[in-house]
Amino acid sequence: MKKFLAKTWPYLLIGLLYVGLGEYLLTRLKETVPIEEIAQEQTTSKKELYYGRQVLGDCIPLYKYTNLQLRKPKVLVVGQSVTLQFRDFVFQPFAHEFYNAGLMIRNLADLHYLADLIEKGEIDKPQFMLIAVDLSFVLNKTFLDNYSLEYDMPDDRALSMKSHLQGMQKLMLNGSLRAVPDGNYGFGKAGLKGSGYRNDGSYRHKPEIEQFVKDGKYYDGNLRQRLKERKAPFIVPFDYDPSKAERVVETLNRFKNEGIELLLYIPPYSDVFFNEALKDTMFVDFWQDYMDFQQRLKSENFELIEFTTPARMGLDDRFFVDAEHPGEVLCALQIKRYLEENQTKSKVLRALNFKTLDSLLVDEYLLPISFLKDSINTPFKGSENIQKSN
Amino acid sequence: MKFNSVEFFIFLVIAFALLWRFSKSLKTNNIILLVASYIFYGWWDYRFLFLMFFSSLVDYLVGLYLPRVKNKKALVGLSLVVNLGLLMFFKYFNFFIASAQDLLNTVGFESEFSALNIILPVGISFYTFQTLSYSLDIYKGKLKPQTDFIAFLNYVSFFPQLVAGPIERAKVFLPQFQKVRVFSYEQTVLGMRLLLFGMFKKMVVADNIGLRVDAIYADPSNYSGFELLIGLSLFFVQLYTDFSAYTDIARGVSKMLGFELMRNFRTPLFSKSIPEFWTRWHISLTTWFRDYLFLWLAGLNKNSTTWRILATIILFLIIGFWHGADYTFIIFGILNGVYFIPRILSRKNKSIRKTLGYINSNPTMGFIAMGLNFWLLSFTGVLFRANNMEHASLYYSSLLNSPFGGAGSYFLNILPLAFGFMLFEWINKEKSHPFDLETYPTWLRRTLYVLLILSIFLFGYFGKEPFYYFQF
Repeated sequence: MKKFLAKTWPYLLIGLLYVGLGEYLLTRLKETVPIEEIAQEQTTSKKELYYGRQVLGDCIPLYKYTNLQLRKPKVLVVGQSVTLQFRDFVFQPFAHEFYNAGLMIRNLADLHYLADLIEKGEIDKPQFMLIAVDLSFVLNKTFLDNYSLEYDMPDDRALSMKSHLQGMQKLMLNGSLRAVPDGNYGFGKAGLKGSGYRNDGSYRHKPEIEQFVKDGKYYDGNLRQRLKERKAPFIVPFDYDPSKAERVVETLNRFKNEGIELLLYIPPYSDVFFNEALKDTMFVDFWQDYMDFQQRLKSENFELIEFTTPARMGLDDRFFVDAEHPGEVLCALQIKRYLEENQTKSKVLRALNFKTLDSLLVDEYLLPISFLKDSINTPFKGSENIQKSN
Repeated sequence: MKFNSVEFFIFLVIAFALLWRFSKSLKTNNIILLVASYIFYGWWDYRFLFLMFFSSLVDYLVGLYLPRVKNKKALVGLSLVVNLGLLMFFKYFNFFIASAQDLLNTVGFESEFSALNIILPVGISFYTFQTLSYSLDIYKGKLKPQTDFIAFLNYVSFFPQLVAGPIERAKVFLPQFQKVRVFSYEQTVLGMRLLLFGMFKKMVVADNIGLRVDAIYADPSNYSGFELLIGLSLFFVQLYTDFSAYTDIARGVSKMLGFELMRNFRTPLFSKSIPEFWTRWHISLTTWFRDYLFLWLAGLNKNSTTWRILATIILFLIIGFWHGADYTFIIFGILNGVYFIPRILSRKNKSIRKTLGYINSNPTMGFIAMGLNFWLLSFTGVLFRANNMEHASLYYSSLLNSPFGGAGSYFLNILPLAFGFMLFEWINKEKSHPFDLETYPTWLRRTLYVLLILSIFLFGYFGKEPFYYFQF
């Protein structure tokens, strides 16, 4: 046995050295802080801290869910990626009681489950919710329906040895041993200077913003191409599903019955995409039904930000991150315009003041795609850039 | 607990240390081994421990009372009913319900049976066959009953081979639980070598190939005819590397603990005919079916060639069905039975016998036969991999897609790994195991160990890929 152990340990040492080095690198990149700890820290700490998640993966639904449970926000934004640009300061004086849980729910079943959680008291009831009623909620076939917050909540990869080993592979084979913290991808500070989630839950699109700073142009993110090729989200049959529409209304009423003030949000498209899409019969057939559904929601007394495009608001497509993701400036303007043009019953919406937003809208750092003010690594001024692109 | 998991390594280190620390007392050692095996199995779902215990208890008692009772058939029948009953319920219930419903609907009866939400206990197909063989051997008088219940429980639940074999026979395996095990440096090193090679084969070769195969099977219509051809042959390589890796690990861990398991594979990829393939592939299962089913079945009408063909087809139909409850497996089995026809006919037909003999003796013909056999098995393997008949049909019909285009480099960049592995197997095919390094100089051996360890860390797949045969 002694001979065996003596001859075996050098091989075990190779494994241990590899794992030790890998763990050191992951820790140095601040990848290994568990979601629970990040959420706890972000909830209590006043300053933004950096947490990397480029290597291990972000486990977004879990991150958002954990934050939501800890923060108990008064104002809550839920929906898919289209909601990620709603910022806390737009909802003054509730900025400190705001949370953007975008991407926590990814389909109608998730929304339904959120209603369950609120009814059961497992998540504290917010006073106000902005819910994006994405077209995938009423599509009969969407890949998003494969996800489930209830049955398939991702595990925290910081706590999984297998994920660590996968992360080590990524680092050893592809990764540059970069400086720390570089804020490339993750939570907290990463959302200020890199790609990542800010403290309020909103997301910063680093590559798109930096590209815009360079050339001031709009990019549609291949959405037109995807429509042509019938790729996601335009998978055939791209049909409206009346039964899903019924369930949307039923679920929304459950929130209403809980006494939550609702503002529904029909996500906009860029004009370049939408004008092209209107030439596509499959899209038009669906769109007609979807717009009828929007009307139905209005007629059932749901407060609603209707579908729009930048041109309809007197703006242009540069306010979009890509063809289907409105930028944060556009999202803020949509809220502001809604309140200017509509009477609202919501106490939260009536209490909003836009002083901070107004000051940012005239700030020299403003870009159509981003407020930029908190993008501490970008020296460009928005106004200069807009002039350049014009 | 999966072999390719961090938990298993921690578990193995603890089990190894405890078992050798208490190796002098056979009783204590067997109890530790039993606890370890039950922990290993219960890691998946502790509820199924009761099922395994129940199956073991039934066969232990059946074995114990078989020599004492007059109506032996009834008692061995009880073992058959219990073991096959459990297997039928957990593995085939929903299939039969769905098939009955389809049949009734076809003949015009409106019926709506509801399927049950049944979880298939891991390894049930393996350990039920192992316990069955014990009762059948006692019934045939080939084996004496085991009186040591702990040893018997260990025989059924021995963790290295519990979930995917090899299916061991009591006559060879049970005595190993009844003698004090003595630590052997050579055996342990050999065991670690098998373990290391098995891990490499599973995590680097099988899983990386499996990722590509999964992608292509997810939607065959998206791929070119050429890629689909490559895909079906890659699946065959994946299946072999995956399953044989499990056996290597099982044999390696067993050796480390002082046990010997049978060989389950003898380079089956290089078989020259289907009958030869089945003597080299999953040997413990094929010999089980041969001994307990085929010899009896064929013996019902020894002189009839037609009956022998039919018996072979029935045998393979059952082997196919053993793998899974779907028509794909049934057809897979029947086809394999049909592939035996030339061999069966050669028993009475001189010219066929001569042709088969020529193919076997001529190196060039043998090489061609090997290639043809590989492709035939790969084509048939689509049935084995497809989710259902519709999926298999889609794959087969998509083979007629344009031969060019498709996914390209992502898919094809795995080929050097697959070829490299097959070349390694070919070079070492005459050895007792492809990773038998005894004749290598020490420096080369050690370098290979290091390379394999680093390859596993750097190129191994650490996702959720279980061993393919766990589903059976």
